[in-house]
Amino acid sequence: MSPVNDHKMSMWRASVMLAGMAAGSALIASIGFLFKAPIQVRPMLAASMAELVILIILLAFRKGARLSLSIPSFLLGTVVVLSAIWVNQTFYLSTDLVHEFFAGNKILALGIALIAPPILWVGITAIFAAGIAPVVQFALLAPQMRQKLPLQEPWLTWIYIAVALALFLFRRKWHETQLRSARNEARALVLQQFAHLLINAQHLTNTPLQTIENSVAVLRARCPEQVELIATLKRALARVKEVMKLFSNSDSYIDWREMELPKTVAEFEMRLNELLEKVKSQG
Amino acid sequence: MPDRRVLILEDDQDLSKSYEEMITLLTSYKVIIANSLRDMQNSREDVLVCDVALLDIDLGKDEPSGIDAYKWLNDQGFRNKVYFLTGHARNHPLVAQAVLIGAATVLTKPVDIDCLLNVISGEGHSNVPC
Repeated sequence: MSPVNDHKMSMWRASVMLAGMAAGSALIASIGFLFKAPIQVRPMLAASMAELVILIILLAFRKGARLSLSIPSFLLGTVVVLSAIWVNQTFYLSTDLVHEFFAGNKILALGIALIAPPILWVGITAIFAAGIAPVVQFALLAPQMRQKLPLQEPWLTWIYIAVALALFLFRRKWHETQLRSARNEARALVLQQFAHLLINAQHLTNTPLQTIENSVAVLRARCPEQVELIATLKRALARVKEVMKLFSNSDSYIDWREMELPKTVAEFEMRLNELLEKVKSQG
Repeated sequence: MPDRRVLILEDDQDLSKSYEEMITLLTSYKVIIANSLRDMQNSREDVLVCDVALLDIDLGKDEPSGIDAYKWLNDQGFRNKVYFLTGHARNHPLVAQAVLIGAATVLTKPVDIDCLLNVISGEGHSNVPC
């Protein structure tokens, strides 16, 4: 897979994961509210449905994994989750029920960091959004409502945001290293196959070389006066033999069980072209 | 040694022709050429009276190999010197199998003419570089 396609697929996968997990979480939350706070069922169900729609759209358009679809889907999925959390916080603030405020924002930020969308600005935007929402919500609250929040909020959430950012950057770096290593490994494999194929092809040249060797001997016997021509031919032949000997010295590195020998020049050409295509496709 | 006979088993037509031409020109030996095991079996009587056999190991896709030819010769009671010729690398499985036979020597193409002449004359291959 080319680096561009890999990038697209990773972004698409991140969007699918976010939408899938958010749809599931919102659905579980709505079931949880069913008997204790029925008023909260509808917004949670709506969030779950919205994420489900995003998920279905992403799955329907998985071919090509276009960034123009997966990036907005990821950001929209984040906004939907944040909206559901906002509604949830508002509900808890209006009651005396025990609740850990902004827990959803913290989980979302850490979740995004773990999903690690491959595009830097997308990940940072989503994590920052998870941190900004509590601050905005806090700013919009009446002073008496603010007192309901734990003393360190909403700033405690920002410690999670910082951790999530660090985790996201680390995950991204790790992902890039893995990708680079996989690419290098694939390239090394192709180059190894290429070298093996060249070494293997020596049998295609050794037989005609023997024909030339025999023919030079025939020429020497038939036309002994052609001293210079025979000497030139022998020198040229010796040089080719020397090169072929160097090839044969490397054959101990070949795992013959993995190699199928090209039997003809046409087959050799076909295999060579296949390998060159592989090299090209790896960029 | 005017009556000496040399068997060459080689699937490449050009090469087998050049062996024949070169050997008949440089020596007075009689050359029996076979391009496959089947050819060899068809010329059984001529083949079995040869003094030395040079068998190419790889006789083409889906064809019996030089090793099969060696086994057939052995089964027919051929007890003269046999050499395997190969264009393949020494570590190639077919070549490794030929080396394991032990009774036959493996020579890698392109074999030097002096070596080849020594081999077919019965002087062996150890006194010239092959």
